[in-house]
Amino acid sequence: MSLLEVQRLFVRYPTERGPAQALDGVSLSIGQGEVVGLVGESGCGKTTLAKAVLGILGSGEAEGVIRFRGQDLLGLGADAVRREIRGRAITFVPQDPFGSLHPLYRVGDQIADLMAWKAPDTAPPSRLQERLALFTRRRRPAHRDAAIAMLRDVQIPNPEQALAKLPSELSGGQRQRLTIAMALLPQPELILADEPTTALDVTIQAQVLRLLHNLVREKGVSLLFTTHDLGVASEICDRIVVMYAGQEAEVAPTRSFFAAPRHPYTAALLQSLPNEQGVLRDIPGSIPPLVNPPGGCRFHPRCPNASARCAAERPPPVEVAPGHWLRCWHPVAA
Amino acid sequence: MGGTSFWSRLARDRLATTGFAITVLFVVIAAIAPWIVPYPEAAHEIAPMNRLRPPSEAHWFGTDRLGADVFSRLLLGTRETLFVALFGVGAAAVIGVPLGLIAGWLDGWVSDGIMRLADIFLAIPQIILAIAIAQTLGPSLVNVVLALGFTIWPWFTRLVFAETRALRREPFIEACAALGASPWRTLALHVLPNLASPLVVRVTLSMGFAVLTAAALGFLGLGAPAPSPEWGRTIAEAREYLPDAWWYALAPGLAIFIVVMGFNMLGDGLRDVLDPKLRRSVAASRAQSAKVQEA
Amino acid sequence: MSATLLELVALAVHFQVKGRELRAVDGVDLRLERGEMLGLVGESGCGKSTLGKTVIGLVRASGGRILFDGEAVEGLGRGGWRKVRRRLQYVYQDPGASLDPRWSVGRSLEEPLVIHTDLDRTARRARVLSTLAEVGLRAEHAGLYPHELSGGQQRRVGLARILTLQPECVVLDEPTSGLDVSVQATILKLLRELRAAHNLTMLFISHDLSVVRMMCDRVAVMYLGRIVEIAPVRELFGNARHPYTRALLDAVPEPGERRVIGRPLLEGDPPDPSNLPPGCRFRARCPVAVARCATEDPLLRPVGPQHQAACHLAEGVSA
Repeated sequence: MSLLEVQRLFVRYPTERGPAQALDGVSLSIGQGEVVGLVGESGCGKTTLAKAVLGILGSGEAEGVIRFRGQDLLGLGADAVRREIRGRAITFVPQDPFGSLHPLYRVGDQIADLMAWKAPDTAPPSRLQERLALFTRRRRPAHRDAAIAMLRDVQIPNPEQALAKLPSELSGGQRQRLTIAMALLPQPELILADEPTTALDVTIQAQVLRLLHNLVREKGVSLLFTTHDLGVASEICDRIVVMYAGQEAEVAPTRSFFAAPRHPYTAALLQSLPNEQGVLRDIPGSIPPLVNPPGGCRFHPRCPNASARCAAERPPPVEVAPGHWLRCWHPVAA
Repeated sequence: MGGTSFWSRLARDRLATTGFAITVLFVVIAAIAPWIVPYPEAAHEIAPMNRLRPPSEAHWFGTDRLGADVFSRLLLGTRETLFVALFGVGAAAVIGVPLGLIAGWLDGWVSDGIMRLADIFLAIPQIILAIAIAQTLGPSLVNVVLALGFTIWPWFTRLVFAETRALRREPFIEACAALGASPWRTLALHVLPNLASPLVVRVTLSMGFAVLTAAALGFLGLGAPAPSPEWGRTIAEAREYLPDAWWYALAPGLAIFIVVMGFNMLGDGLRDVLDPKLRRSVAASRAQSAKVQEA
Repeated sequence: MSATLLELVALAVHFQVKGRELRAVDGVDLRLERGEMLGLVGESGCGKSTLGKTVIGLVRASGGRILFDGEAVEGLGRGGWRKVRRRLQYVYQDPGASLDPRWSVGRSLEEPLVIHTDLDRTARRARVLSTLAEVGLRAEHAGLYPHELSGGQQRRVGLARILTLQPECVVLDEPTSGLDVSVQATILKLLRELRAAHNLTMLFISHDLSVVRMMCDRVAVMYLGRIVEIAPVRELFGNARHPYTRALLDAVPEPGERRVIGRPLLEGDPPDPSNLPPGCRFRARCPVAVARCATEDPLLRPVGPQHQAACHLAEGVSA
């Protein structure tokens, strides 16, 4: 059974011009210990999907099923998800570690706080404890060794000194390692990483990718990795889900995804990448609006294979090869 | 950036709307006062048998020591008060804005010199500075304007300095240099227009302060000489007849209070409506939606 | 008319940071031949953007010389600079931010013509419209404000703005960073067309090696303020001699492959640029460093035809 099962998930955001249909009936599953890449261009809904799983959609309204360990998260209620799931069983690695680290607290204190609240052996805090925590600061010197071990795990040099530093005194790569360490601390079953290497230089990105890959394998955690970089996705993912304008287009094991893409969008996306031949092929047209998007398959206005049917009816998922699912009426020949 | 969105946002802000209504009301009064006052001769005529009458149907705010209608003089005084405040703040902006632009654009001793001078002016309590300047120049309406200008200008300099420094780092300002635009051109066409919103807010808030200071100067006899209906001067006259002729001082006091409140509320409201950070985030969200719906 | 359009000689840019000297650009020699597209790659903080801004006079050089069309630009007065600026233009990384939010696109595009030419209003408008068409925008776009444009459209406007003056040499600072790949392909295509149409000489600053590989004729690799290797694009990608270049190339993920996470990687972060170690500045992270690297700073030297590298062991690094 899969760890996370998303079924026909719709998400709407209210805007001045009417509801933006950010997700249009997306289905997706992640197995135990699996690394799934969620790729697509801006506005495709990959971040919205991650937010929906974390229960942090803000003004967005979700409809559908998000089943985690057999439990429906949407039915569970926002408060219960916040207290029991988010930050415990499901953790998050952001694109910009600066945004998730407190700029004025030392690394050690932030880790100690996290340990006090979210360590795997702690019970979820009661409401009273949560309120009181606003006025008290806990430090547990006993956790110092654990904190050092944790930093060593993610290969931060001189962990003893790093504990006394402010986030701004770490390098970009070290900060991202720190957020990975903090995401691993509660011993989660699923980590959502939102473009975790996009802000990093390539040599640092390579280090972080390898680290993430090794840690995930070692601890048996599942990873949902959103990225716009197909190269990064191919490094770390077992399976890749391509999204376009709020719809999933194609789901395939990494190898067949790159070797035999079947969806016209996937094929066009791969062809638009810089290549050794130096041939540049763009995708004519542009990403459709999410308010009043095109009907049926949202890619049809830009699709070379499109027919009248594509505009009328959204294609159902079809398994074209083992584990390779496709939502297209007129797929590219294999 | 359309005007409609500005007005609709202003209309949604209750504070700003109230302030705006008060301000407009007093501006209109100032404009048409001579034609609407119940006793147009009140500004200069004397009617000794009518002196110090309490409020009645004929005289809503009673009469003063010379028997003139307090309400009429109040309306006539609006014009003087707003004139002084507007030109005072205008003078301050004329002095302060160019200095702030220069100080913000340049580095080094010119910039430091201007800002230290502003600091010195700000270190002296504003009202005392205004009194000192007005005293030196002698009592007249024009001198009150000058006193206000020399008192308020550092606020403009400080604001413009800080905003210019921030703008100088914006790529679109740097890009002007890359294109070969001269500093003057950049300042006039790019920096100054982008300062318009905070300047409008600063002008509005300064108006409240200017009305208050002008009244204080009038109270001390440093404003326009008698028989001017200026509010501060009226309160000074009324002081001798307190507490018996309470209406005599209360009417101009209330007027000052309401006008100052009006300007401050409008200023605060405008700050919310025109807040550059707010606007930038609105622009960003629009850019986002434009991206999403790229035609 | 000489073949070299832009030449940098021992160019240095030093900043004072917290009392210490930060050498953002530390002695760079570089030649841009007429009509060539030279890629300048390196990681954040290597000084490539500072170099670009120094070339067009936005940052003051602390030492060295910049020669444009054989003429040193430092000695030029304001009038001379203006003439050079007209021929040498700069495209910002984020053209959205480099446009005045209160100006319409049309007005922003007209501005360079107002500054540099004495064309009348009608002629300026006509030039703006023809340039807009050239970058693939419609006349209606002239009436829009920057925030009303998409990311790709903003890039086009950024390109249009420099083209109105018909320059000879263009410095492009990260022209595709932050764009989706399909939009990136469109913009790169446009760049190629414009280059061919106007015979532009380009300095293409980027952190994206795969884009540089596709677009450029020659590539220079920067590390901590120095150029460590420079070669024609094929030679650099096929036969890199500097260990840093090799590490950089090895770290780029290729779609469809798993090439990065399995192989030995460059460890650690670059050293603090305001506190550089003696000797080779790459030494601490270098997998092949020897004793000599700690004492002797390697200089850029020829290691093949048109190929230079700053490494004592460049011959040994060859694959």
